[in-house]
Order: sequence, then C-alpha cells, then structure tokens
Amino acid sequence: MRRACPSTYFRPLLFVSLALAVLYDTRSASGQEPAINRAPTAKDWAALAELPDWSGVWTPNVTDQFAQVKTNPVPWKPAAAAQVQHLVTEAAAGRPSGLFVNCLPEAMPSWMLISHNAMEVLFTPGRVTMLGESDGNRLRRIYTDGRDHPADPDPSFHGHSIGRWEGDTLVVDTVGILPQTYLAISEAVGVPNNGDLRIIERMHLAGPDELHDELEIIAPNVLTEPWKTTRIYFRQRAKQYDIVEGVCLHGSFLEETDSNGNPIFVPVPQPPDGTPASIGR
Amino acid sequence: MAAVLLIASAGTATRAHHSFAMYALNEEVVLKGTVVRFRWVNPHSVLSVRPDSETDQNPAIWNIELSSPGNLTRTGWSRRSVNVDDRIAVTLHPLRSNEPGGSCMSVTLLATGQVLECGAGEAIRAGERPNLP
Repeated sequence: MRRACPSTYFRPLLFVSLALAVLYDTRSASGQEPAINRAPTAKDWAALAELPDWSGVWTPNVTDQFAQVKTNPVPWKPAAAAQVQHLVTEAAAGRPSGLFVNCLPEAMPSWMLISHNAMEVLFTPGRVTMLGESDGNRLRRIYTDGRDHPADPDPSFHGHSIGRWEGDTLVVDTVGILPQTYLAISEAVGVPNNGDLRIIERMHLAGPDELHDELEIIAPNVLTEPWKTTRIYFRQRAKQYDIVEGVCLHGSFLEETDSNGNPIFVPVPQPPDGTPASIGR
Repeated sequence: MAAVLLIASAGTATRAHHSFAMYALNEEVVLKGTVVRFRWVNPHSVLSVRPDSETDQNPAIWNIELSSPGNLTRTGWSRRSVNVDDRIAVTLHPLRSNEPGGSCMSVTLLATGQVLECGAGEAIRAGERPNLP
C-alpha cells in the first residue's frame, strides 16, 4: 500500500477496519474466539458445492464389522479383556447382555462401530451433521468453522467434534464423551470407556459410492494402545432408503386406551427378572 | 385387557434393542396360527401369533421379532402386510430359553400364499452394496 498522509487516511481506514472486524468476526487482539456464529454468506453456501458429494443414505457393511471381531481384535487392558470375555461367553450361551436395551444413545464411537442401520451426512456452512436411523438418537455435530474444543466441555454421548478438510478427507477430532458410554463391539459385548476417550477419524470416499470412516480410538483407561479400525458404508439413492423416524423406546410401550377413551402409550410389563442386563452384576 | 397382558408377558422379544444371540440360529420352527397383534415399531417390529396347536383356554402367544420398519420396508414389507386375524405360517429361529418366541425368517399368508421374507440377516446383508433398487 502506498504511503499516505496519516491525517487524510486515518479515519476512513479506521472505519473500514472496524467494519471488516464486525463483518468477518476476525479474532480480537487478545486472540479470543468470537462469541457468535455469524450468518453464512452466499459464498459460504456456494463453497459447499466444492466439497465431495456425501449425499444420499449410507448403509453399513455389517459383514465386515463381524469379521473384524476376529481379524482386528481390540487391544483391551487385562481387566477390560476379562469383562469382555465374560460377555462373549454369556452371549454364546444364549444370554446376551443388553447393553443398549435402555435405549440411551449408543454414543461415540459405538454407533460408528456396531450399528446395522442407515445414516445420512448433511453439510451446512461451518458444520457437518450426521444423523442415524433408529438406535437411540444417533446425532453428531462436527464443527468445521475452525473453532477449538472448549477447555472443559460438558461430557456428552457423542462428544465435542471439530473437523477440517484435508483435500477430500474430513479429519475429525472428538473429545468430551461421557465415561459411562460403552466401547462396544456388538450389541451384547462392550465395556464403559471409563473416561479420557478421544477419537480421531479420517472420513473419505473410497469409491464413487463407498464411504470409509478410519477411526483411531484412544481410550487409555481400557485399551493398552490406540485401536484403529475402518468402518465401511455404501451409498443408497433409492427413495425407499429415505431415513425414517426410529424411536428406540417405541417398542417398550403398548398402544392402549385410557378411561377417557384416549389412545395412549403404556409401558410393556417387564419380564420377572426386571432389570435390564448389565455387566458386573 | 387380560389378553393384552398375556401377549406382553410372553417372552422377552418385546424388550428393545438387544443381540440376536438369544435365538437358536441353527434351529428352525414352523408355527401355523392366527395373528393377534402386529406392532410396526422400533427397534424391532413384533408379530404376535396364537398357534393352532394351543387351546383357547390357555393360549401361549408367540412373540416373533422382526427388524425395524425402515429395514422391513426395504425388503418389501409395509405396516399393512400382516393384519390381526390373518392366518399365517411363520418360520422362525426359536428362543434358546424355550419361552414362546423367536426371530422371524419368513411369513406365509395362508389366504393368498404370499411369502414375505423377514430374516434379520437378509435385511442387513441387503444393505451391503451401493445403489440398491
């Protein structure tokens, strides 16, 4: 920029700088992140068209999930391995533990690991959102607007996820997952992650209609080392694959009629043993 | 009301979202009877059948588990595929506990002869290719 007389250009420059700061939410001099999500511009929406096409409905490769139980065993710590072996034995004997019968979310990473059901991936400015069909509220929000993780995130079922695009690969980092959620290898076999869980993913197309999620699961309280596994999904475009609502608890209620003649939901009476199966009891 | 309680308490198939390890996957039973209820629900639809072999005095209702409505739709089912009072023959994997229940393999509508596949494994394997019709 040419040197200009300060007294002539200072005020307009100041005005323009302030205007830019307001419009584009640049970081303040102190480096703090802005406190609002600014409205996306037309350019932001247009930029989504440059991303790889992850539209459609994605159905999982379950055969590969089962195969990996043998070909890619989880590096459990001894205490966790003993619990896992007990659950495997019980399931083989026809008494599977119902880790998810309470219909709480399968959570991260288990919904990527064990779901047999479809999912979809939505792109909006600054965000990738993943929604699953059925399986207790499968919903992940991955922030791609450059933000960091909060210093002390409230623990949640799916964690706090931030992502960035490296070419056509979405690299996602997830922390802040509730310690009670299972690191599961099936609906009957898994151990609570016990906290300090971190998941790094590289998600990308491996073919025109095949999506891979390469997971690195870092669970220092139950694993001897990070566990790497790839989960495979196939794209469906037929309308009969449209995601439908799937409320996990629906099957736990019966349709009956109350004394006023209203149709109502009434809980299914539980079997005599009462409590849902859980490990360690 | 009593009939509803009998249906609900028969077997554990009405519990949500569990493993199929509770079924004898290497055994098959064919049940012929009358539909008393068909619940088109998540996570598993449930077909309740009063077998012909049971007496009216003490009907042991069989609860047979199918897949989710989403998965079933993709293998040709709708919530109206089976209705109360339909006469059907169901092939199923029985519960290993010997309680009256099982996981559905196929349903034949006796009035028309139509066969509806309902194996969970089939529904799942069906999704393992792209661009299915």
